[in-house]
Amino acid sequence: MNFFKVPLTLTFQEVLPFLKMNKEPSPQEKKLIEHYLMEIKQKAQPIGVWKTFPVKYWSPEKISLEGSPLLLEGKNTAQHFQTCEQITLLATTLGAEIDCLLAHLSPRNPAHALIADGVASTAIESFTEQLDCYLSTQIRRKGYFPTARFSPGYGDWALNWQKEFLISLDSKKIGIATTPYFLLQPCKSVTAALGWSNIPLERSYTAPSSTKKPAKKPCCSAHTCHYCQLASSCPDRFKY
Amino acid sequence: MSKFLSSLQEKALLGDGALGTMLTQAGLPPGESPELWMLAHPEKLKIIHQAYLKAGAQVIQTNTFGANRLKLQEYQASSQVQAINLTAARLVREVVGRKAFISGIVGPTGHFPAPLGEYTWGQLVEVFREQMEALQKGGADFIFLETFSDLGEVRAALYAAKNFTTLPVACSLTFTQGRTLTGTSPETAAVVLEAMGADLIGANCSTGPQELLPIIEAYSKATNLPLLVEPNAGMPELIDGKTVYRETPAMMASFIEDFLQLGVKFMGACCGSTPEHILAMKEKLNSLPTAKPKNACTKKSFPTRLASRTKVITMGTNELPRLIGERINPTARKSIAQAFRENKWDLILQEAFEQIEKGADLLDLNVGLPGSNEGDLLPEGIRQLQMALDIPLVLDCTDPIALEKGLQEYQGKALINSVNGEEKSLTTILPLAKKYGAAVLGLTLDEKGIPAKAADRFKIAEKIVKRGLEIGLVKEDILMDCLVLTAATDSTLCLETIKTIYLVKKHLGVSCILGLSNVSHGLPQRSWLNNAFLALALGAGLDAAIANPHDSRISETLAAGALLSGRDPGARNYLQVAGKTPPASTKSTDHTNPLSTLHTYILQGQKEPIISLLEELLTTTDTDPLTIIKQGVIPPLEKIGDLFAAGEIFLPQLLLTSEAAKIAFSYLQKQLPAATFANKGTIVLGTVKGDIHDIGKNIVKALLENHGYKIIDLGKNVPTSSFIQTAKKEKAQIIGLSALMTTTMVEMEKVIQEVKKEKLTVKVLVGGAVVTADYARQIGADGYGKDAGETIKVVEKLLASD
Repeated sequence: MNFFKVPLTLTFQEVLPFLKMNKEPSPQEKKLIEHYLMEIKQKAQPIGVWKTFPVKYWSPEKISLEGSPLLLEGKNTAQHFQTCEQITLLATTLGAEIDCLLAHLSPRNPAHALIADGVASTAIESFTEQLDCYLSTQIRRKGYFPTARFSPGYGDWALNWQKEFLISLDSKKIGIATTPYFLLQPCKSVTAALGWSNIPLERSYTAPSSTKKPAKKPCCSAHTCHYCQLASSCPDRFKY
Repeated sequence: MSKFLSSLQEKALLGDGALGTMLTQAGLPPGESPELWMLAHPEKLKIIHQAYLKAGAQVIQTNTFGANRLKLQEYQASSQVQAINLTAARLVREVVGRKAFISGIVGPTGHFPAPLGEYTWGQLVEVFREQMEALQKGGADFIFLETFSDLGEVRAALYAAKNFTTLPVACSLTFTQGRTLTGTSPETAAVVLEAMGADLIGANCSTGPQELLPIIEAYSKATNLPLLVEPNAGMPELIDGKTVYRETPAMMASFIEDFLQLGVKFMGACCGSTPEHILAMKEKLNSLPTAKPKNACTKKSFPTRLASRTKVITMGTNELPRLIGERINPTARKSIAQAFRENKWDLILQEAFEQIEKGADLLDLNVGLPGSNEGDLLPEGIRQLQMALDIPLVLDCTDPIALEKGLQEYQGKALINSVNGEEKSLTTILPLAKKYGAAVLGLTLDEKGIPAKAADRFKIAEKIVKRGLEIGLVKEDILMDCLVLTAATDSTLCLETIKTIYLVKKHLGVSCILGLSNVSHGLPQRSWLNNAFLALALGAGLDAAIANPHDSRISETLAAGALLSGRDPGARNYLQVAGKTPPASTKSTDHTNPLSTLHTYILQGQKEPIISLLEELLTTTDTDPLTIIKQGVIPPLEKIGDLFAAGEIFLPQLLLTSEAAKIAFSYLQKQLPAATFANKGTIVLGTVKGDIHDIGKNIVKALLENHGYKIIDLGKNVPTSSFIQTAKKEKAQIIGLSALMTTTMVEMEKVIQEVKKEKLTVKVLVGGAVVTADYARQIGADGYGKDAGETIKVVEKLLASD
């Protein structure tokens, strides 16, 4: 079990896609974004946890892990991790104070709540991405090829597996829990699995070119956005 | 100078490629420690080193990336640090003799210094020291810190290398999208590591050569140090079940010229590379003419640069004058003193954020609290502040022991506030600046106190600068505070300060800072004096003021002074501060036509001035409320709806506008008979059972309310029965259901079935992140709101069809 704590490195520009702002926001919106960037950086207590499990059993329908009650279930899901010897489970959260902030704003001031929610969503995504990059580098150094992140609720991996996911990580330690309907609490939390593939995978590399293409998320290629955990915040959501 | 460094000055050196890739090919089993495996298979390592040497590498690395106590602990081998590092260095020497240099590789420990990780600075320094001493003993020519992802950790490693070995040190970080894992840019890394005494800096691993070009370019703009680069070998392909890095040797080689032009002096390759890559790079290097790169000929000059972990702030004659926030100081402020005493760091943080919001470029941190230990408070304050703030800190402390502890914790390039002309201060404080890569602020006072005359103050400044240069500081890292005394005691002395600034800037050329607020001590209207004195000092060449950012005049004086003293070309900063950078789209308000002003206020969502404008409209122009609603409130509301539908504006602006319209509407409504507006319809709204996210639902609620509907909001996590009962009781026309997750949207269908079962006439409208039009149809909903804007239209349609 490893813990991950780094500061948020969020910028104004990164927030815009999460607010679905594809061009310059209005001066009032800008002011609100700047304000909540600061407030969320101040209130967030980003922390992550991860643990790596050897793959115990693979079938085209599901994967089980050594020492974990979790099943990576579903055809898409099993295919995603087909070539993996190990799987790293990770969970990240911004902490409960962000929930308090959003709960406070939501009924009183929807415009503020909307912006704060967008900033917080960007923050947890960006923080998770930081952890992902860190783990990917380590996986590559050990001679494996990291898969793209995949989460319960992506593709055909049912959200119901959140509970076992969290148990596997003992994520109580960083304060993440799930509701009976499998919603993560605090709300700005993410769970994801990262595979250690023994053969190269296209998506595990940033192709050497200067034009940055955003990493393709498995949910997007599967055209199942509507079932995605990130549907409300995914910048690619409306492309399909 | 070491032979390695002098070789670098002559020409660029070629390093080797990845060890990991080669070790796997040589039979290193997955999951095993490469360092321990080496002890059992020294001959395999020698074969690899030999292959790289043969390919043309001039620097060969030791197999010691994970050979520190903390990493080896994972294999229960932390007692073998010495043996592994000695062996690794000697193995390389046996292979290369004097034909190549040995880079003593030191990788990260996997733990960041506190507060991110659980190890203190001191513990990490000891871990690195142990490894580095062994590497030096084994014969390494330089220490190569590579693949570091945290500036704090690499700073500890660099400190250990500089203080416990005599070897040159190369520092290489790994970047993703222009930043390290913990947020440091190449520019910041360059400023901090150069000040700490690195001999060679750069980047490795991360990505392929193409992505590293902009990183190295950013380094190149920020330092005169020689640069290093070791890219990954790019994209592997799978051929006949084997991982092959085809074509990449040539591709790697094709970037060499670009890197040389940027001042790269040491080049190798990282993950995925093989001797083939090194061979291709060698051939390319040999084919290039030996002409010096363009950039390398001219030495760049830099202003004074201070840095947080993530950001560099410049200071100097050609830079904008800076504002240093003075308010974290317990001497004059009881609330701060109490916060320190009770460890209420959130209050200190709040104070810091407020100063930044008011325009502070740097923050002064003073923990001098009677009865408390600065040696504990200063490092703790730094730990608390530096993770949350992105602006550099000024360490306001004269106790060398506390300062040293603080400087160890600070991961950027701090400004020490202060040293003075006293011998004791010079001999204790200046070496700290050098040792920990900080800049230092000198006060023009000495054993005899503050001289009255400018000429005598200048002499002290001269002495401080001279002594600083003698111990190896650069001029840009020595700053001067020419000290102001309160005008209440002797106002004739104030101009002596101004004269000293002028003399120091002219003859010593160092940056000048002024602790401003002292001038007004004990007098009324302190802001007048502070600002007038600031203006005078700016005229004499002041570069930064330590002042109160909450006095808004300070920013104004700084902006105006910068313009008038020729530091603000094109008045760009001045216009920005003056709020006069008009984006083409925002039209100024037309005061001759209050109705169009009302349009502007509503469109921009400016709530504050609306009521007074309406009062003006009602009283002075005698317009009747209904006309104002029809001509003043409805048109902008309709316009914003159209703009939103066309994608011209975003949802937050739509909400801000409709909130402003609501304020106008409710105010005007009160002026009219109660029956003027009929209720447009009653809607019961809530998120379904199990769903606890209600931001979307609240947005829809706000918009509907602003459009004149009566909303019964049941909140979140609402059971089916509540929707049904409330709809019956309130005789609602519509039930609006929101769900965010696939696991909860099934609850929507239950509500619809219940409505049908009870044969209610109420229509059901559904929406939410995961809900689609298909799904809405499938469960038999009467309407589907794709987003908040569309929901308004759907509601109108549903009610019209009644």
